[in-house]
Amino acid sequence: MPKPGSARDPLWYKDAIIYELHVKAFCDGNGDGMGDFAGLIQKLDYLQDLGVTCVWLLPFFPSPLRDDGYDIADYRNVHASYGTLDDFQTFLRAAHDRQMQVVIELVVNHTSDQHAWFQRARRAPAGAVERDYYVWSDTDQRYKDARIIFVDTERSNWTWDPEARQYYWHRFFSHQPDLNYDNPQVLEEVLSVMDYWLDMGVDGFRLDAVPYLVERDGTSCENLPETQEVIRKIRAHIDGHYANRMLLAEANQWPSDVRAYFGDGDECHMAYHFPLMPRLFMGLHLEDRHPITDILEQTPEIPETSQWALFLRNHDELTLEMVTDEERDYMYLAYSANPLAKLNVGIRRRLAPLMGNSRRRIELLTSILFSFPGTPVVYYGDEIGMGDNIYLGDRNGVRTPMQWTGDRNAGFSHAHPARLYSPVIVDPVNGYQAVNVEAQESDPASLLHWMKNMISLRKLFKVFGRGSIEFLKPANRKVLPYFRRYGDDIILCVANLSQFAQPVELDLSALDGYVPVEMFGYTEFPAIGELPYFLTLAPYGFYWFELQRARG
Amino acid sequence: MASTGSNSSAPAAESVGDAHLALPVERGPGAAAPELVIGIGAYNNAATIGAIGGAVRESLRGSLAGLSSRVVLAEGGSNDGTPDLMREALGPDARLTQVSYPVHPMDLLQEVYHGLPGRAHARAAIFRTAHELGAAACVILDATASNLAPEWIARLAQPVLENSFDLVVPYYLRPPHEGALTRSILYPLFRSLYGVRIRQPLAADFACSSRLVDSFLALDHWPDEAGGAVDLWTTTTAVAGGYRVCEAALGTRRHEARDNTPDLSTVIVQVVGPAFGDLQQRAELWQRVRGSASVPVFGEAPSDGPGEPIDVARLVESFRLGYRELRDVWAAVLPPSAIIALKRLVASPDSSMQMDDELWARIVFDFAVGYRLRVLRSDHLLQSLAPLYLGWVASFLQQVRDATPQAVDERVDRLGAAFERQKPYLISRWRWPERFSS
Amino acid sequence: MWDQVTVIFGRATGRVVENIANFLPGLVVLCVLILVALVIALVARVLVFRLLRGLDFDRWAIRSGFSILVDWSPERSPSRLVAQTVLWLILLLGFLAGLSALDAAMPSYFALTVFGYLPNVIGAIIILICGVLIARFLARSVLIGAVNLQMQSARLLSTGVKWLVLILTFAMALEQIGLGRDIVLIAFAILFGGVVLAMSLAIGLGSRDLVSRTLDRQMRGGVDRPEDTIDHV
Repeated sequence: MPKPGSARDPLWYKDAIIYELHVKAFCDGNGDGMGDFAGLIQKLDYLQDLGVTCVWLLPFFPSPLRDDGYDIADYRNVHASYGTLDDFQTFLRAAHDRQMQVVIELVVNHTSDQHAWFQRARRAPAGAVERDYYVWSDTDQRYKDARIIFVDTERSNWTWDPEARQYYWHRFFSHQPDLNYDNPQVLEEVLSVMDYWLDMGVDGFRLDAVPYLVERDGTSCENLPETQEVIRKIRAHIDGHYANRMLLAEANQWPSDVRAYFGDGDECHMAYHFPLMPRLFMGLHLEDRHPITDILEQTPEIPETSQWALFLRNHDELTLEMVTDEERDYMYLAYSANPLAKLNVGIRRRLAPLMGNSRRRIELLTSILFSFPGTPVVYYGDEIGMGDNIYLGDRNGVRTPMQWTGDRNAGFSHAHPARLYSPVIVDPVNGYQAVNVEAQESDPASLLHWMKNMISLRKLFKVFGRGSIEFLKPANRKVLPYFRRYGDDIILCVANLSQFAQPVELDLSALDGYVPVEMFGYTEFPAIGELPYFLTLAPYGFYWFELQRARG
Repeated sequence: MASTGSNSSAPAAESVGDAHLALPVERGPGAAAPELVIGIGAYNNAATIGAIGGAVRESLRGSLAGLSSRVVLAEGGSNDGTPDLMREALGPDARLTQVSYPVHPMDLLQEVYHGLPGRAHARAAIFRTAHELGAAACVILDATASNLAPEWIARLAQPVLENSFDLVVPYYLRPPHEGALTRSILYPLFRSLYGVRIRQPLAADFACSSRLVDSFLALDHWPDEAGGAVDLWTTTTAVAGGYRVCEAALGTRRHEARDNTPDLSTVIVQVVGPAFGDLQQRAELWQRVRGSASVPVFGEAPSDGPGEPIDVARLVESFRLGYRELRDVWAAVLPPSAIIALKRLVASPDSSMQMDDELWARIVFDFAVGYRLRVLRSDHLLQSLAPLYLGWVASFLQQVRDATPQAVDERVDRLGAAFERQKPYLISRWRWPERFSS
Repeated sequence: MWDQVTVIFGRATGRVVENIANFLPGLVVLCVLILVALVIALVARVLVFRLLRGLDFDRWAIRSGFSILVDWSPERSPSRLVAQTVLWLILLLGFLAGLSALDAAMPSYFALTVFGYLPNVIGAIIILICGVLIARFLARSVLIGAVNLQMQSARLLSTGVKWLVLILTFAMALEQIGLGRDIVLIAFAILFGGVVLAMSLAIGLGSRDLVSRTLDRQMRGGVDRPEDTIDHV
């Protein structure tokens, strides 16, 4: 008998609104300057009110925090700064009480070099089972075809360990040795870690850095069939023991490569659509729908039970790995006027500053996020248009404390401001005095209220999470029109990517006799006829229409 | 606790202890599944139960004689001998199964308009018994009806048994001043939301098929509040599930006159509250329904004459008082244009005070949205609707003063159409509640 | 003479030493008590905090509308506030117990006064908060209820109820902290009695007929409300 999860519907992730947050950055409950579960529990009502149905937590495990928690030192505990296991369980219960699912981040590709497994491995003699938990080599010349990901900090994927007197393999920072999935015991350990959290009631895992699990000579060491095999085993194990849980793959790859991570519906339930995201920004800046329609047309079909996860911004830089060189140059020119904003192969900025703080642009991109096929992921703070601080190192500029009020520390913590894990945003445009939850809650026209309305509207229609997409190609390329269909529901979305008003003529003759009803205000538009359907759109304007059969 | 009674011809009373334990009710040796279960929920209804038992007996001897049937009395622990009176009235031929349902002390504290504490539990107990007996149809009767005619039972049961309908709701013919809340809020609201014209969405007497009974039992969320929650929920669930619904014309219905009838504002809280609550639960459904259709009506209703005239002036007075004192409360829910329209109404003379159908529809919808957004405590919100409702009733009664029942029905039909026309207003306010008003 | 000096000096030193000897054990007891209290308090704080956290007290407090409590609490967690209060109460208790162990009349009298007074102040604050909340809630309830009962003076009644509850609250709070106890009591009695007298006079003299008519109607059966002649459902 599989252990049930908190969700009733096995496909719950298709209708979910995922909210990504870092416990550290959300709310500080104990006044030590760092967010924790006690604080997060207090803010669950806020998330429920916003309409979020699923919370995805960035890593909260014990860790030396040299990569913001992605260097896990113990898979079965909670970092002391964030609280205790009890706190986590209280949080989990409280979230489930509010009909929210909880997805946690599990980094299974690598551990911290502080993890007991690694410490044991480096001391064990070469060839011992303990040593074999990681990938060792006497030379740093193996797997030469694998690229280096953190080009700004790392020179090689191999690092010499003086204690083990061997090189160890790491695809990310040198303090993050990769686990060796050729050792069956490693997979068993990882499965038992998953059981540990799933038994507690966790609804899913985001599998970080999943393309890099297995290494083979003469390959790029990414997306190998052996890696797929590991994932298949993980999925089979979870399906065998638990019901209604979800695996979300983080594979920053081309859609055709990511497709493999869905398998035949027997690998991950969800995967991010990485290449779509930069193209949304590009299409908006170019005022041309082509980059967007192009990437979605290149996206292969996925199994019935699989789902794309869509996002505009997340805790990392706006990654530009999955674009052509020319596109990358365009993006740098368009969105990182300040060279400080560049990091690795991307732009480390939040949504609002990228959009030049234009409410209309933010709304337009969000409307596309909510109406494209997939499950939207909202990064914390983006619902109020929070800003960033590019003078903070690495990606810390987009991981600043959540802005709750205009009070000290943005209402995030009662600690002395100097004690905060990161300074709050204080600039006059995006600073916490100007942008905070309290102010936006009392303002019915705020971005926060707009988001609430959008989310609750999206939740009324299953078509957004489950339906098909079909683009129309009117002559005016500044306008992006598309159909979403699911069962009897037909939704027509039209977005104006231009900063000026645009006309568009849509060939809707196949739907002769239907009446488009604008969804937000429930306004009937003229019925569709044989002639091209003519619409005008305000700058960055967008329409969502429900197509209803004419009465009578 | 389950014990089966004898299967003799003597009054066969079987007691099944706590119905929530879902113990199997044995049919007794050699007994096939009954085609019809007649379920009655009762708690201290000595005054009316005899008449109901008599009607059931008569119908079982008369029009339902050929059917195998079982009477199920869900009993909340009466201390006035209700079960004995029932057994006596049924006579020796009928087979009676008695199940008890739990009445919690809290249930007894609340005055409810229909006077049956723990109504949802009683209904669940009857459904469960009907399911276990394997009955093809289940007729539910209300123990407080004092003029239950024997033919009602057959009229309710036949569409299920013969025409394979899933839910048969009653169609009473009532004088203009009766069922005012049903006419002015429940019927038009239900019709515009779910697209089905059922004149009595809050059905206390009704019949349902085994399919529908099973689907009720499969749902794990039953309404637990007092009042109209379960009555309305029954109908809404059936309509939302796409089950076949029809009406049976039953004639005039009278309640037992009780001295502890709760006051109007309590009735509104108990009846309109669940209706508004239901909107939240089923938003995905009703926002796609357009237009409405009537359902088949079985039987010809005998017509009643117009009822006694009502003192409309005092209703108007209540409305005016409400406007004077509660305007600030209303302003939290209603848009300024509605307040201005009400102001005009207050100023008009008694005899010509006519509340516009569209205005009334918008007011009800605005209150539904206010209920969802929790702009006020929900009971305050609903109680403050009472004077507005009296204003509407006053204007309605003036319009149908000397009308025939058919004309009254037509008038109510027009109101339903107005609700349908205003439905886009409800949907737009529901989806995008932001309005300029600060 | 020198002998006498020595004797007196000896006696004086003896007394001082004796005093110190008398005093020292008390001091030691004080220190020990404070230390014990500190340990108990710290344990109690952790236990209370764990317990409340387990019961999800924070959420309950926010849900039940005690958002003021949340704002006042350290780190916005009411369970932490309660835990912290428990800690300080136990510490205070230990300190006072230690003071009385010193057996010094002055501190123990002071301690008793402070100890006896503190609950009053806390009580008064709680009464004030509850009173204001209740008054606001009742005012609207009464207004809507009275309108639905067709009472022409609904607004007056509602305002009256609000101020009655508020005045009662203030009187109770002042009474609680023992400030001008008699004055408050007398003033309140006069005010309250006056209101009742005025109402009875008004009813007795002014609306004698109306009252008798109403009572008459009540006797003959039920209140006569227009909507009662309508069957709603």
